[in-house]
Amino acid sequence: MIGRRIPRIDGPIKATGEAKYTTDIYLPDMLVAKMLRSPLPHAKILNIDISKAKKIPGVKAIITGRDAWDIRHGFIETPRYPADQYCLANDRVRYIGEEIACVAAVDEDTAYEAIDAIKVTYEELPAVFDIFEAIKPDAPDIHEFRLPDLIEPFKNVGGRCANSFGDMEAAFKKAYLIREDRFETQLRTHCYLEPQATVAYYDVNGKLNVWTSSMGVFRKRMHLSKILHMPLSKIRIHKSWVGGAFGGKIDLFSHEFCTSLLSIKTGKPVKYVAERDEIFSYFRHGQPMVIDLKTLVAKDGTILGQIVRCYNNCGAYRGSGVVCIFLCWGFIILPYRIPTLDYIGYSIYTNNPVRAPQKGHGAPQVRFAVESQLDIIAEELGIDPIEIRLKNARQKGDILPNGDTIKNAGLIECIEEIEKKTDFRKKYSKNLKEVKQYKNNTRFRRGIGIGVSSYFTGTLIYPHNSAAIIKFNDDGTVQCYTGALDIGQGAETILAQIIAEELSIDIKDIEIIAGDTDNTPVDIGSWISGLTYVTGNAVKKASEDARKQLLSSAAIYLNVHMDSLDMRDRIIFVKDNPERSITFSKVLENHIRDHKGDPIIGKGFFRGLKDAEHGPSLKNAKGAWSDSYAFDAQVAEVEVDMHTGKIKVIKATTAHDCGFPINPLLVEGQIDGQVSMAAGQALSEEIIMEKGITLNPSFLEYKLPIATEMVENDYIDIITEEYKKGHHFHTKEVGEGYVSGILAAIANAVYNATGVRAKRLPIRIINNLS
Amino acid sequence: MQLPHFKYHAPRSINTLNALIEKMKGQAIIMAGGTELIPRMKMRLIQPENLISILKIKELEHIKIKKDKKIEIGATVRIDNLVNFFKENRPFNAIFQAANMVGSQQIRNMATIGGNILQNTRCKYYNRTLQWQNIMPPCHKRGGNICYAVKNSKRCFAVYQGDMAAPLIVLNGKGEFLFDKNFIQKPLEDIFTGNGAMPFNVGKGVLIKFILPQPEDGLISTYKKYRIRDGMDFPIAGVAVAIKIKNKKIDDIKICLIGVSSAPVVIKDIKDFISEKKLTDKLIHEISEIVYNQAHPVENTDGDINKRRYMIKQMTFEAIKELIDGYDK
Repeated sequence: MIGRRIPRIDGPIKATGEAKYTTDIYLPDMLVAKMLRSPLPHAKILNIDISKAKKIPGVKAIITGRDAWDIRHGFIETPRYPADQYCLANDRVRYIGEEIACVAAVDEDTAYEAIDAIKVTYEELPAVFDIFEAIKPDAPDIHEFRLPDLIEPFKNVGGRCANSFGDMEAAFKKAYLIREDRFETQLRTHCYLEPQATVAYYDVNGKLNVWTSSMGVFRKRMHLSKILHMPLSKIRIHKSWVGGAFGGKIDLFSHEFCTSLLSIKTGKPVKYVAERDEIFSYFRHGQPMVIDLKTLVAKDGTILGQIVRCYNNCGAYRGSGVVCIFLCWGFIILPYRIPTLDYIGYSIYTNNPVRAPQKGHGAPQVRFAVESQLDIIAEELGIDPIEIRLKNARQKGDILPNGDTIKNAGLIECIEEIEKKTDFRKKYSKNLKEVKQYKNNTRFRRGIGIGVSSYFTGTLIYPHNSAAIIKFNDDGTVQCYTGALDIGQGAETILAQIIAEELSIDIKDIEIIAGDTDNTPVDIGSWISGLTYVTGNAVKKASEDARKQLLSSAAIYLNVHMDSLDMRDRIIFVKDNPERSITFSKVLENHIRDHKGDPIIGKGFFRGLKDAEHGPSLKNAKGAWSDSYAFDAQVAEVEVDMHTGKIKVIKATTAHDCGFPINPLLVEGQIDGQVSMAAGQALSEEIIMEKGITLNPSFLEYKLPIATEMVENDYIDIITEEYKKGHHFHTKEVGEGYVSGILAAIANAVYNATGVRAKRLPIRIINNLS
Repeated sequence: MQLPHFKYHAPRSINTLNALIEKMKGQAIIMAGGTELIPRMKMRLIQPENLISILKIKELEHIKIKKDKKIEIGATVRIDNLVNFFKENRPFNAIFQAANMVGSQQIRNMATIGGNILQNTRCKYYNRTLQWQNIMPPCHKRGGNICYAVKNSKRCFAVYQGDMAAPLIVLNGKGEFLFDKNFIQKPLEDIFTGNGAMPFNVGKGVLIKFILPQPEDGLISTYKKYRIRDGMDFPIAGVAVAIKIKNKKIDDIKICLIGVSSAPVVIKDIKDFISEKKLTDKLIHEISEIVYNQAHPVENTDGDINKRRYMIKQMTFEAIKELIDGYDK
């Protein structure tokens, strides 16, 4: 079952509409919650008057910052980076759309009527939206927080990550070419089709039942427990299917707190579903970044050193901005050997909505910058883009500056194979020559470009580990209990395949019971690119445990040594004499009879980075980061209409070293999704803001590529890891690494076609039209 | 987002429609496919007490070729039906082109020609939910006196983006309106005010049908649309061109722009300019330049205004070139 192209097991219920998403949850007497949001980007709240709103018939409860304890939350909460955001604004609002009050009413109209009746008195404060304005000495203070070790005279620095190594002076002396560029990436958003939604029901036993569109139920429970002052045992996050997240649903959101508190106050179920324009305007987006990149190279293209400054606009609260600037460091040191580095990343507060992880979380930004600049350097040195990448590619056995070992790296094979398959060198030099000599006067010009990337495979962050339980029905069919949440990536299918493999049974004989904090064991969640690795290994170990118990029991009944047994389709048999066999069902029946009722339950657990106490330092990037790293090389072929400036990605090819692909169909699905996201980022997507106001808060105006614009994809498997029974799963990351190389490849291909070098996304060639 | 409460009426004949309108004393809103009206109602940009659907009036849903070769298009003919009807119709190719690029297939199935023509003007500061609008004092179109798109402007610049208006205007289409039981025909280009806040000057008239004159010999037309994506999007610049060729010369030309102003822009002085001139690329460039100079988009929809203006020029050139090059084939 491992390595097979099995269609998703959740396909039928999703295709027929049977799958229940959070918005599909209807409970008797359920109230509707709506949010009052700040109309100002920065202001003191002088007074909130809810007296009139409270009197409206049908309004059941209204909560404001006063009802919420004086407790803040954050994407990360550490001594260096304490939580900085209230669930409901307390005395101050810092961005347009910040939550001020939440109403629970009998229906939507009543809730909105109450929202309109709440009167808030503000004292407006000066606001700042641009990062370089925000760091100036005369900029308004968005927070009182000061980083104790900040040496720069910058204001509003929410986080700083610095790391350097190697001898920069020597690198400068040796350098043949020094190239310095500034690259900027735009504000984008996730575009999950299922809106943010939560149903909370505080029942008569004092248990808070929550259904919420998320990326990990145990992380949500941890956040809610803290913010609501409730024991973990009193909160249950139920499973509901999730219609996409892409990083945008991992944080705690105000509406999750508000629906919970409103249910506690009213004793009734409360539902909140975000409107699409709220999601576009006020919810968490990805991270727009300015990257100053200076690269020192030898004459042959070997990178001698890099000086990098990343400026991240993290919005009004810290969000995941400080994680993003650590990760940017990681994506600088990963795919290429960087012997000398001077890196500082800043996460800067502005009066904009808060930022969350978004697929790649720093990698698209960094790869766009580095891969673009590498092509510029290669051209200046007169070497081709393939050669400069091969020269600097990381290889097996490399030790990263933080001490992590690259156990397996297929990057060189990825680059070599993709060159062959796409005929890269030939096409690239032909196009470049034509552009340079102005020989190509045709309206539609073709270009080819390459980008490479590398991504980590999970790290240590709460809840750190996953566990799984395998139990059997009387007929020998299997139920697996896992806390994993399938957010559309196919987690349940992958886990079922692992069980099917280990127990040699049909996938139809497996039921996955998942994503429920009360009824399933702990799980790391569908994020940080770690689910298949961490949960996959937990499920594998649970299956192995069950298999071992079944075999050892069967050995007694068949009167042979367990090593001589094998199993298939719920039957255990003697390898040399398959006629001698016993069904799972019979083994279980006998086992219960002979072992005081023990029904055989398999248990498994897994935690990555077994020798590390915690994840890497966000301050200086020291410490273990991940067990393994995936690599890829991606080639984009574009066509540019020189009359209209329209850029079309004709084809994308991805050569990937993603470890052992448990389900190649799902790997390809991930690549397809990521390539289309990259095309959107490269060509059309951007949240357009004016003084904190979002001007394109709809799918009509936010230019997500449509179905007819999907890119044709080709794949090359470079498999450096193998699957071995009895060993850990050597899978590597596949969920977000492929959004970055191809982004850079598109930008490089546009240059190859037109001679226009994009340093800002999305790419525009308006000034260069023929 | 839910719809506000309203009373729904669906008369089956023009007579009942008339009676209903009379009864409502002009307080009703007419709806056809609803693809433009329903989202505006959800956003509470319009909250009619009474909604009259005209979809059940059978006589409004047909396209007819009359004995005098005029074409009559009922107001509730779906855009998708137009696509099929005008496919491979050389003189009226502009209608096919425009219809085929309206919204998405789902929109074309629902939306009607009448609704497309009478769609409200749009602006990135206007087509928003009430909650979103709370962050900004009302603009001209919302009853205030500010324009966010054109700073310090005393009027509304909301942009008219009905794809179908441009081809119908260049093909000299007329609209037939029902005014207090009387049927009145108006050239389509005369139904627009040019004011983004109140884009139509048809009062309480109900659009019943369109009439296209019999195509003259040598008539050819096309439509070009600029949008960011290959589908879904409104025109952020659109050009319809109709040309009458006679003796290998342009005998008549009419050009209409869409998506660059609060009303369709019928290009002035163009016929006189080309009179008796030889058809060269240079002449087409000069025509494109004239068109370009009459396009004045403002920052109120997708895309960059310079690019939108540039595209007007580019598309005009391509449209005329294609028409002329294709004429003899």
